[in-house]
Amino acid sequence: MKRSIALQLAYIKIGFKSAIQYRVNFIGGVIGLLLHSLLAAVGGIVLIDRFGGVVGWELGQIMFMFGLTRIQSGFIYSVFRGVVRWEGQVREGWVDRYLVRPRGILAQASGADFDIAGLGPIIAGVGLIIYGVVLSPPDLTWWLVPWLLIVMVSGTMIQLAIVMVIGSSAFYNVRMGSATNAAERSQWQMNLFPASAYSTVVQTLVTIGLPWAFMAFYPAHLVYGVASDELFGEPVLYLAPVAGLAAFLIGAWSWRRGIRSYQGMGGV
Amino acid sequence: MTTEESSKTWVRANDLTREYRVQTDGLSTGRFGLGLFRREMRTVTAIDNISFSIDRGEAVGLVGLNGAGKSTLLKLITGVLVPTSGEVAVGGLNPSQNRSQVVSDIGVVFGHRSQLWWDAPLVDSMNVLKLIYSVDEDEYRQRLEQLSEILELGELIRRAPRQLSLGQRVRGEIMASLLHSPKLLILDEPTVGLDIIAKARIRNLIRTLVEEEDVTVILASHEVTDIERVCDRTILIDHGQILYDGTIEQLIATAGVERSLVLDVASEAGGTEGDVSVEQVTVPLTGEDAASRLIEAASAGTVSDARVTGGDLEVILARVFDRAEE
Repeated sequence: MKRSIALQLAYIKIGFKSAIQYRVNFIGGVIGLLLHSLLAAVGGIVLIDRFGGVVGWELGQIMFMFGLTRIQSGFIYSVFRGVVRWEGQVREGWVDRYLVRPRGILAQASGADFDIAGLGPIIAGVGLIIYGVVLSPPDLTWWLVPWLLIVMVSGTMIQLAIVMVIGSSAFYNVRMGSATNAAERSQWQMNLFPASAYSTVVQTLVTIGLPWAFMAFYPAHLVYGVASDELFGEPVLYLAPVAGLAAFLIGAWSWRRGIRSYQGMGGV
Repeated sequence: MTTEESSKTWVRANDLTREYRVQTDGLSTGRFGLGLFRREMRTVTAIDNISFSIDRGEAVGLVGLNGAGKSTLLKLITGVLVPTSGEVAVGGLNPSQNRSQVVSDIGVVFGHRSQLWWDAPLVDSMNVLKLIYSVDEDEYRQRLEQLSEILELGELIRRAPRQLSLGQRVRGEIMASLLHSPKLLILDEPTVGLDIIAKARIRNLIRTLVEEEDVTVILASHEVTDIERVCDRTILIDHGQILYDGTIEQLIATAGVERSLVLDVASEAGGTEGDVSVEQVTVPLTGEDAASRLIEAASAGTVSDARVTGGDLEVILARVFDRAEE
């Protein structure tokens, strides 16, 4: 475990060093993704402010939830960037290189393509959480910070699992890059508003199919002392870590199956 | 595998076969665009029931035309691919079932693909590889210093690969593959695109590793001189099958090519002093009386030049592969 953490830190360090070789690109990447997140939030703010809230949720609470999902996306974009662009890594023959090294493929894939631009959504997320807390202060309890950390990890695992399932199709020489982009954009869109604002079908989809509602919406009920979810009841409010773990296990299963089916890239 | 065998044999393949499933319908979308949803597949045999073994400290050249199966064979040895049938063992272990353990003792250089971080100093790539291979800190420092010296990289390890010449970069790649002191070194086209000095340097280094560190080397190359200078043994592979497995000398002998020595023999023409004529004398180098024929030819005058003809390995290999195609 200690060695794995040391390796991931070394990946981040070398990724950072590589990125700062091109300072304009480095700063531009971070600022670009920061603005991208903030502009989406501003669009939401204008709309929500006009109605004073959405399905009982206040503007501050919604921005708090959106901020949480932005931080999770920032981790995916930076630390797990290699998994997001896995299709490209397979086509460029990186998998062969990972397979001839005595480390897990996922750990290598994640670290080897570290992208500092993911700092943008993380900074935006922190800013949106502060904005949300100022507008709608949550109940201050002893478990608030640990719960938010658990939610952060669970939400990251849910997103990671989805890109792993899509990415593992590349092992079968199938190009699914467009699906990764579609999933990322849909996740953005869904998480900008509370899941309860959508139809029953969509709510079911984001709870059971693509469990994006566990990234912030259900956990935020506990943060703001909202009693229960109308559709799925109280248990789902506590299930973010279970959803994160379950999603990750499905992602890992798909990933392992893909590696076993891998035919290699390059010549015969 | 017996205990005696396992201590000597490092790589072993028994009836090894690897097939691929490939798409046959190319870019066609088919009737009514149904081709977009249905793919026709066929099976291609890249490695076809081959067996061989490589001893510890042996340098083996893998030669074949494009698409012969060299890369697939290397991927099977490294555990990147799983055999369709048959078995492969490295150090007595199945590479696909014991990937981590097997690859800990393997160093790989892909001539066309870098394992270095393009924009970070070479030494930073080495630091990451140190953690990947769990190399002890003291051993790492010692090894880095030793390899810097052997590969004449010196201060170049503080530069990023994008700032290095191709030859320097290949030396960096070799350094990366040797950092963890592997027992098996696999090189796929390591000298591609290098100048003659860089090529010679790489070849000498590989020989040194074989002779001084007992490293087993598998070298896949289209560069015949690499094979001649570095390898003890050559495996010719074609359509996934072994065409030849033995030494270069045996290959030349079995190819039926007669090597000759051409001598430029200078002698005084017509017995006139100062009037010298040069005659080219060709002496076949085969047969029991080759030595006496050579002495006789050389005694006819003063030998001003000598060269061997007929043993061009590239020509011999082309002939062998041509014959196989027929």
